[in-house]
Amino acid sequence: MSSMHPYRIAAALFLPLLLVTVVSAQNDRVRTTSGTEAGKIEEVSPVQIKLAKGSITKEIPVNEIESVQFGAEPSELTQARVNARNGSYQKAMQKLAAINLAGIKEDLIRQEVQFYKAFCTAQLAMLGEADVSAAGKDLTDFVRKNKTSFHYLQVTETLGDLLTASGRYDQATKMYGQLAKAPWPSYKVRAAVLIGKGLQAQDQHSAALKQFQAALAKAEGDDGSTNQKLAAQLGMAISLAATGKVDEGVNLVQEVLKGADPADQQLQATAYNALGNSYKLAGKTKEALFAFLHVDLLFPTVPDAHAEALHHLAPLWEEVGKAGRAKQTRQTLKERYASSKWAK
Amino acid sequence: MLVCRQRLFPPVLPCVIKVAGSACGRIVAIGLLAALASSPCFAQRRSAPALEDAEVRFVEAMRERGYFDLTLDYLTRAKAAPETTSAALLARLPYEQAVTQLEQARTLTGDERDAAVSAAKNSLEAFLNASDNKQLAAEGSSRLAAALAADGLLTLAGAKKVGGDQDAARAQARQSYEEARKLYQQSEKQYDQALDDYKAVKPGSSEAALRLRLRIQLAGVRVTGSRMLYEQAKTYSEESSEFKQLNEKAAKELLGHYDKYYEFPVGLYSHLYEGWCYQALGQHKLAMGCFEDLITQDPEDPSFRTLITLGHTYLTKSLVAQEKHEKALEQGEAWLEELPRSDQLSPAGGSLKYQLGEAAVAAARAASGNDQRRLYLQASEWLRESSRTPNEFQADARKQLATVNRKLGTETESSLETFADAYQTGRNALLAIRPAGLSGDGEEEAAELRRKATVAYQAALLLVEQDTEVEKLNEVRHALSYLYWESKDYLQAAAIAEFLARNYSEDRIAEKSARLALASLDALFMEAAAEGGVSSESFEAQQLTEFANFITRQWSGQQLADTGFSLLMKVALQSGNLAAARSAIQEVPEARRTPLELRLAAASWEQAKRQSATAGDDLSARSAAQQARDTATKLLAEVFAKARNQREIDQSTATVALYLSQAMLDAGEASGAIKLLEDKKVGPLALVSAKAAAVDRPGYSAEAYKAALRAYVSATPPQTEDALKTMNQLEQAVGDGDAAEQTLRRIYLGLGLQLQQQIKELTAAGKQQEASRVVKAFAVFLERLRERSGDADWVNQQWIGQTFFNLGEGLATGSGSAADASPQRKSYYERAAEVFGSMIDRAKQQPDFLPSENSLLAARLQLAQSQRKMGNYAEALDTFSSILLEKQTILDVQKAAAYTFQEWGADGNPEQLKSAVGGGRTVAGSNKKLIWGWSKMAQIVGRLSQKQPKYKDLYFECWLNVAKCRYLGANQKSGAERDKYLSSARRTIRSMAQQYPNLGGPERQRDFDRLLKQVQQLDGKEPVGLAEFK
Repeated sequence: MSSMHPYRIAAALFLPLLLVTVVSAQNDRVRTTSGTEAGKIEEVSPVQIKLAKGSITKEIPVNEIESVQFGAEPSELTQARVNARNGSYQKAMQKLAAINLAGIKEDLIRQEVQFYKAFCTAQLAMLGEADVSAAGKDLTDFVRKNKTSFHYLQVTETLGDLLTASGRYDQATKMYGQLAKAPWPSYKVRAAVLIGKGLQAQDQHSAALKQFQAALAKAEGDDGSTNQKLAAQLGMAISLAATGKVDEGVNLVQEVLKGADPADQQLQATAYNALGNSYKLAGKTKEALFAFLHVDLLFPTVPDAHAEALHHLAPLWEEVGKAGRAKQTRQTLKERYASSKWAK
Repeated sequence: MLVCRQRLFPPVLPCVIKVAGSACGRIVAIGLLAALASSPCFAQRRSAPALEDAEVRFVEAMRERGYFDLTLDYLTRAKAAPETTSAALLARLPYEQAVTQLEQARTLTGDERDAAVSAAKNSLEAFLNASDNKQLAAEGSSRLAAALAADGLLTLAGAKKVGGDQDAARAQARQSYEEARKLYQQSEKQYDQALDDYKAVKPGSSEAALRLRLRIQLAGVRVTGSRMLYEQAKTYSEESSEFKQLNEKAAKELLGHYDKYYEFPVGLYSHLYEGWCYQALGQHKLAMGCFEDLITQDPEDPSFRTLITLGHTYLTKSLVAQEKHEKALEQGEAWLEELPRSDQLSPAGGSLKYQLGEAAVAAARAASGNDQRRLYLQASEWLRESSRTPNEFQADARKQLATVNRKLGTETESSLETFADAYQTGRNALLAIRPAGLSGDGEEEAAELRRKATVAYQAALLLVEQDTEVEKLNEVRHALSYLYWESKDYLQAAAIAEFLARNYSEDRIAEKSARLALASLDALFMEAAAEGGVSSESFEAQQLTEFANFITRQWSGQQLADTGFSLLMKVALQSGNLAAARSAIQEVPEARRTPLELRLAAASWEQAKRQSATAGDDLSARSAAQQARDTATKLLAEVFAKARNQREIDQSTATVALYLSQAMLDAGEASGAIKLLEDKKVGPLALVSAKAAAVDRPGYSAEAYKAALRAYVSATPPQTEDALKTMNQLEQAVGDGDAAEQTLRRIYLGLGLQLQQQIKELTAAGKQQEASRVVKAFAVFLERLRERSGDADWVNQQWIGQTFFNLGEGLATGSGSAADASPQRKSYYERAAEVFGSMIDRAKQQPDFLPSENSLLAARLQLAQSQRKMGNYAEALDTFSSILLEKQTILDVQKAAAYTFQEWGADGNPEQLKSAVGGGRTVAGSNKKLIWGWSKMAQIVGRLSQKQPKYKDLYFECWLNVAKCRYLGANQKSGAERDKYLSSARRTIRSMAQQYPNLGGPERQRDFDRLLKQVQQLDGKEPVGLAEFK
């Protein structure tokens, strides 16, 4: 991790808005929160993409982008992107390894391959299946070499996550703090939520609660922060339960679940795990089992949450007298997340 | 289902009538031909003059778009306002109504579909009877025939489930086809009559075109009518003579139609069906002759391409049957390659691909090595394509595809690369499950398919792409949920289905998921209940309640909401919360409440009965129980008054009728109960005698006979003959054999106990007269029974004796001891003793009279108990001693003997109290006491209870009675001697209270407390009970 230079990366992130002109194939597709835009990507920067649609050029802010698919990209990249999105990082890496970089003419597509390699390595590192330092170095190298990448914010957050996973909370907090400098309120809320989660990881629940409250205050009145607001509420629920206010925690999670987009797998999975943990603390075995089961059955594409759910499910199955299920659950945990902290 | 209809009717019906075989396919008539299944084959949708009428066209258009409710509404309004309705529409109103109902029926399933078809039938019949429009009548008859034929197919398809009653389904389907054929024949006559109006028309005129169309329609009903024979043949086994005869007859008729109409597509379809008949009979050369005629039609004409494709399909099948695999593959593939892509994806194309897949499988079986693998791969491809296209073999294709892929070892989780692949693999496996259930080792195959579907769908969840439609993703989740349900993994099924129902409640899949979630949560709830009861706070009850509440809000006013309410009520009833059940019912629309009210009334009665049974002598508990019974009885009467007028009596109504008769009996209203029991429509006796489905469940008939017996016995005057007749019916209903004998014994004893309870309740309610009347009437009945059952078997005798004993117990007052017994009560114990005495004597003379050794022991014990209750203590102790001489360690006998000493002592013989405590009756030649007495029993039981906790209560009972005997002794003494006894009693209680502060539990604690208060009172002290020791 010593080779990581978060401040250098951050400095490059938000100072001058660097735009590079690129050559891209026709029919690039940018999926946004409100639909899909097709055209030719002309320029990218850490905060936007310029897409030429005939004679018109459209500027699409990064906070509205869900994914980008290049018209001339190899099919392995497309598949790898799907795999990565669904938490199948090993599979994604296999697909990426099969791509001949030298054969790719477009810089942006080459960048995209490199980003996914770095990103998947980082995710695998957080699951214990890759070296954390090496993963950090890959990400840092990526942003150093591709200062205009539209993945900058994602890289920053992932770097923060890596730092959190390796217990370097202070540095992680600083890294998340960089996110707050993005020009959209939702990123300020997100930064606060991530810092709160870091505090939770250190068992500093009172401080975490303050962070989440601050996040909620920042989200007030901003339509674009709805998901972050729910994430903050969820963070609060977890900390409330951890500090003995289990019922309050359960009620809050249930409120989050009522308002959450069912398609937001990350949020749903986190919420159900929070619910399961709260019930577990309250000694409600079957209720906890039922909550964790939602993650296992409905959101297996959120690896860390899935691994956590499996970790809790195994003993819960035993408690309700289903030893076979418990064994099967442990086996899945071992097979899919062998190196994860949840499998140890 | 679609597939079946396609087979019943030509998969594609020509839109124009053409002359077959001609180079250009000359158009010779106009008009649309019938749509699939909804109308007779080759029949026109509506008659030509009607085409001109805008309102008729409007009705037609609405129906075509599937707006059936709107159409029916429009027709009803038209009928109500004839002045604003066109004459053309008015003339065909019932016809249009019936046709709409038939069309609507196609979109329904189960009972709803049956009801819609039946309503349509009635409308059509009404129209046919009233109308003189021959052409419409002909169309109507053929439409009705088509509906019946479709019924036949659906019935057969429905029974093709694992465990379906196939014989019954075949018979039912056969009947539908027979009726359909008759209707087609009727339609044929009506078309003939309609054609009479066109005998002399000018060639080339519009009338001539109309006549030709009518002729073609006539041909259509003839061909389809003949095809009914082929369908009927399929309802018999292939080995049967009926199968052969029907196919031969069908082939002959179809050949005739082909000869007559070979120039028209209808004739060619007749030839196709003719080929099917030969194929069914195994006459493949004849069949191939038919199919070859079809494949030589003009391929350039799109409307013939379907027919040619079908010809190739069945030709391939016949070639495979003759093991000409290579030729089959070659010809079929060549034709398929010629077909435009749209035709390849048509149902006929899908059918041909399936037969090609089968041909490749057959060829692979005969091959080996690489060739075999190549052929299996080829088969897999054909079958996969066929499985993706709706066609008549789609289900078979899915099943065969699963088998082929197993052989190839493909399609494991890791081999699935995309969501679409995984989705399709899962779907294929899922849809192949049902057909798999039909084969010999179907269950095993179905299980493998379930596993495969589960693996594929789980993989699909991991392969979701950003542009994966959420409907597709949810379809995968729903399918997984269903698979979990199938494997009884209810928790998993509920987790997924509930998520879908809550989060996608507006989607198409939501209602299905909601049902699945409800069913899963209900199954979990029932499992928990079976494992030892559920409280309203349990996880299962809470989950079900919460979700059912959601359902009632989300699907408010719909049938699903009623299911939700029904489950809410179930949870409430199961956890004894009747108030919650009542609230749930209030939310249901008045018109749909009765079934739930019936269940509530029945549950209220059951709960009240349980309450009565556990109330014991506690006055407040008895009063509460009585109140509960009154409330339940009122509820039963109210809901029964509503339900009895239903057209059909269901299980709940039958249960309520039975319970109401029991409630009437409990209230001493025997004549009302008899009237209800014997009621011809709803009476439990009448239902049992008619073997009604509503009472077809274990225990109902026995309970009905028991209620009748009670009623006849309790009536004024008692209806002894009816009672005896009912006993015979009851014995017949129970049957013969050891198990039946035991059942009968339980029933008779149960009846005795019910009467005893009834007498008790009447007494407690202050209805002494009714109680006494019931007792007397019952005793008369028992006497009569005793007289006529002189040589009756052991069970009957024992019941009589036990019932006399129970009658005595029912009249117990005060301590219940003999000292307090009235002469009437004593007389029942005497009669019981007589019966048991005579049974014991007879058993000695006639050992085979005894069902078992233990039976004799039981009778001797019952004799001794009767003697004790009569106050014949010495005799009772003799009898007890005789038993103990043989088996001294029977604790029940020891206890009864100790009580006998105690009661004797309390009855003015204080010296017997010493024996009650210290034991009595020595064994001849020794000092050993046969009857242990409370003290020794306490020692023995105390040791036993250390290992077997069930003896703990007896231990406390022994010590309680040690103290009680001392108190009873004090009662009969005075002065210092009394003090000595009182002090001893107090000492015993104190010692127990110190050693065991809870004194064996709340009930025993109350007994000790009560006794200590009596001691304190006799001692002239304030009766503070156990508080004295604190």
